[in-house]
Amino acid sequence: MQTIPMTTGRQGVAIFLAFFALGVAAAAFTGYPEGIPCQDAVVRCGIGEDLLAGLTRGRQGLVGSLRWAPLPTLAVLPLLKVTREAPLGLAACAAAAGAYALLCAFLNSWWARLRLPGALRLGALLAFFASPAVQGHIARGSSDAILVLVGVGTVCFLIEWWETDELRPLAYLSLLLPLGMATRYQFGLIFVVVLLAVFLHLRLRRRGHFYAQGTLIIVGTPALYIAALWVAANWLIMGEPFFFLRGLPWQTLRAIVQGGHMSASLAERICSAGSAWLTLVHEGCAWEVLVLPLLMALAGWAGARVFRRHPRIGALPCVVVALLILCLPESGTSWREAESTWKMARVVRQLETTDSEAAILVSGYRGHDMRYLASPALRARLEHTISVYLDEALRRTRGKRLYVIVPPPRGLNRWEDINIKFQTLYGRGTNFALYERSLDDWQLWQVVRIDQP
Amino acid sequence: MRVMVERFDVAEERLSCFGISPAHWRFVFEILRQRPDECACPVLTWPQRCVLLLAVAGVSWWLWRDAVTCLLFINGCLIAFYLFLIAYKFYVIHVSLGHPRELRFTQAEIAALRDEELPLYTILVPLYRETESLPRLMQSLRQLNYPPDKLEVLLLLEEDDVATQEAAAALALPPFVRKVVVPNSQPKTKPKACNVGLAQARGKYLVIFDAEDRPEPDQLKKAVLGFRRAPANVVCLQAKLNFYNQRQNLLTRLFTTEYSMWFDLYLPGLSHLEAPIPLGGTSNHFDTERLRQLLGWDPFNVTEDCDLGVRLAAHGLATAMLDSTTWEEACSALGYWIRQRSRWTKGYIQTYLVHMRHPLRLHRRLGIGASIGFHLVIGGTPFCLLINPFYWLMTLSWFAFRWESMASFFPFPIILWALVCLFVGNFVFVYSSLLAAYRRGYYDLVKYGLLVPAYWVLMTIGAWKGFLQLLYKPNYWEKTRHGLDLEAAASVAPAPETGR
Repeated sequence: MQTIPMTTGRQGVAIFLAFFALGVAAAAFTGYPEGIPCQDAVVRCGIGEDLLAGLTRGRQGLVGSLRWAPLPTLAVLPLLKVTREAPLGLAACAAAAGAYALLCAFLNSWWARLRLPGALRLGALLAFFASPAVQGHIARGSSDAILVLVGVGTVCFLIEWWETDELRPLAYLSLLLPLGMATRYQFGLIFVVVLLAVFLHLRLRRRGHFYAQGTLIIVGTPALYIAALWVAANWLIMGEPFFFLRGLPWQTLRAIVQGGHMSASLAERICSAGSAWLTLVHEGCAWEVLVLPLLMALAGWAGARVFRRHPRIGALPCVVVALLILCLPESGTSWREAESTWKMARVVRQLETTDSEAAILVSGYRGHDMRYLASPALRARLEHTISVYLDEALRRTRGKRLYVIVPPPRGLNRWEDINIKFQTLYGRGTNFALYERSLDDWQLWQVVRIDQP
Repeated sequence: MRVMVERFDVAEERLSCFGISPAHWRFVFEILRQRPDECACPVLTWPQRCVLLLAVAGVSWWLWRDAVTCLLFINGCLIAFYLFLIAYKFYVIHVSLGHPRELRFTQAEIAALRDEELPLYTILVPLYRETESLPRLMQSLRQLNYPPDKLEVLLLLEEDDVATQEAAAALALPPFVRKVVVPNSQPKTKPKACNVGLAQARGKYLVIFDAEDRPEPDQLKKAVLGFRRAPANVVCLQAKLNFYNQRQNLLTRLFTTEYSMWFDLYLPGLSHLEAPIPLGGTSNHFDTERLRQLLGWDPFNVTEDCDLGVRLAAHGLATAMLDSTTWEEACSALGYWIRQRSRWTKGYIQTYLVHMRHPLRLHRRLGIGASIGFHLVIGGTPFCLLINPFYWLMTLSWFAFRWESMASFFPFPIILWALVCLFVGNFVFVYSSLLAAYRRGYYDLVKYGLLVPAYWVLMTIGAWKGFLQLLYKPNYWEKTRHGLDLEAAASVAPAPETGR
């Protein structure tokens, strides 16, 4: 790969600023005044606003769940300050626009190192950025944009390091790996693949023990640091160092190891565990959105490799892929159109009819959806926490009836603290709550208290 | 100023004993005559003292009136400073990683140089109490791949250093080596001796080497090629410095990661950004005549190299990095290391104060980008070392005692910036040490970069010593002791398994 003149650096800044402005403008004008973000954006913005307000709930929401990893929330945070008066979720849209703009600037630089002509690079990037898929992500404020940025960057730097052995791609690859984990836990799969690639590269190069040691330290240090920070934050904020891992199906692994007394055979237990863990791979992570941009990036690389002496021809594959992306229709639904939101809206409407003096404890990240859909009167009655501390809730609502709204422990709701801490509450109840009624597939339970009004 | 300069005069009869002409001696303090504003004598001018007093008075009054708001404001400013420093450092390293910034030459290009076309090259070697280092120095000079008849080596000895004079006399010096004895006078500094040498230098180009230096043999030829290739405003080429006793003990390992970070990552990035380069004290190659026009080094500045780098930039001139290494001895004894570090910090503060005498003029000359580099690198480096202990103590106190009163000094968003500094900033500084050792090819030293936070504590101790010494002995030169390395006769270790 070639070194590039600094004019490409300035080009990158210009591309980033231009595309960012275009993306934000498009999201603001197509969304205004309704605001059409996705659930991911609603939750991220909700956590961000709680953080800016200095609430404990905000700090808990930032670090307390592997499912809702912190980086997309942190990306939204500075933009929330600016877009305070704007419609819901614009900050997340701006973050998504920024991520795609940064991706375009990065690809421009990467393809420039491959000596692809400037005009064709820019054409491909324009087609990509203007595509319905990308614009749809931006309009919905999806943090999949950050996943795409980190994923494409990781693969490109891995390739560059493999070919050149240079420090720069190794350093950026090492920094992106933990950032990917802090975006989507599923990035761990890519992490493992990259680590295997690094080991393989070291084995093939055979440059000595200290070279391997030094390389692994460079690669591993950022990941270990961010992991340690996350654990420390959980210890300080949640009171438990591995709180954020609680949503993982550890019981399936325990069942394999300790389940000799269970009726299911070992094979059945393994299948069950495998199924549960495979579900995790897909849940909340749109892998498909990563494929096409990655393909576009690699098409440029492959074209430059095959047509070394004809850069214009070498650039054609990435242009073709970009045009293909441009032609694809937008997929995905906005938050307002999503089925889960309709259901939540029905639950909220039913909650509005409950005792207006009673408080309602809603735990977890879904609480952000509920707060946005609730009327001001209902919102004032909601006790929203990320982690459930009944004693505290009872203390805060002294003299009132306290209800707990419990979602079904499936899908996204499986990660909510109410279903982790009180696994039998939904469906069977516990000794501290009395069943009140069902609201669609959610359940309302009344907390028994000795100072019952 | 006339009176001040006369304080440093030496009688002509004495000068003639040392073979120094009055004109040459006059040149030594010419900067004090012609450009006293660029000289660290005194360290603070009267306007600066007034501004400082006013600032202290103002802060004291504010503290008395409303201590919490005052401390909050100061805290906010310091956190903002840290943020800028972290962002700038990250950017400089990013620039340095992205593109090779040094002037590089192939073996074929070097071999193509014919001896006849090579100019006369002057090497200045200031010596003070260096009897152990002299034999190694001679060996290093003999190994230089440069025609002896085109070399002029001036050993700059001090009048009162009889031992080194006798050691030099006992050696069979090559014909291109000449001894110059500097009369005993104040200030007793390396830059004063270098000015004596500069006044007498005949070479077209000139370089400084220290007593323990082992430059790569083809460094002078690379410098010749470098001056040919570099733009016309480049008057200085800085070679990279590193240590030949990297693995002697833990201190030298950490010192090596620091030097690698400085010369392999940081300075090349600064050079590309056209920020003022704080030169290393050795292996600076100059266009001799243009250095004379700049009036040489400031004899009163204890980091004359850093000062000269800023002065070059302020006069519209530039420094480029040369892809050649000079191997030095890393100070391996903690006591001497702290003394050396104190001198560097003192010198950086001196340099900053000198060049801030006319801030508007300086900023006009440097431009925005270079000015930012000047403030963050020259001023920010010692400042950061001095205020670090306060924040370390605050952080440890908070974790240990959870003092709620501390929260009033860290409201939102200051707490957010502070957390970024704590978690992101420290990581950037530590990780850059790992990268630097890796880039230099010291793969076994990469892991020692993780111990850099402990090294910062030592740097801070040295910094405070230097700051306090600035108050009562501003021009005192803390001599670095050499010859502590165990492998005195070892040859230079080539960089194994380079990562390039």
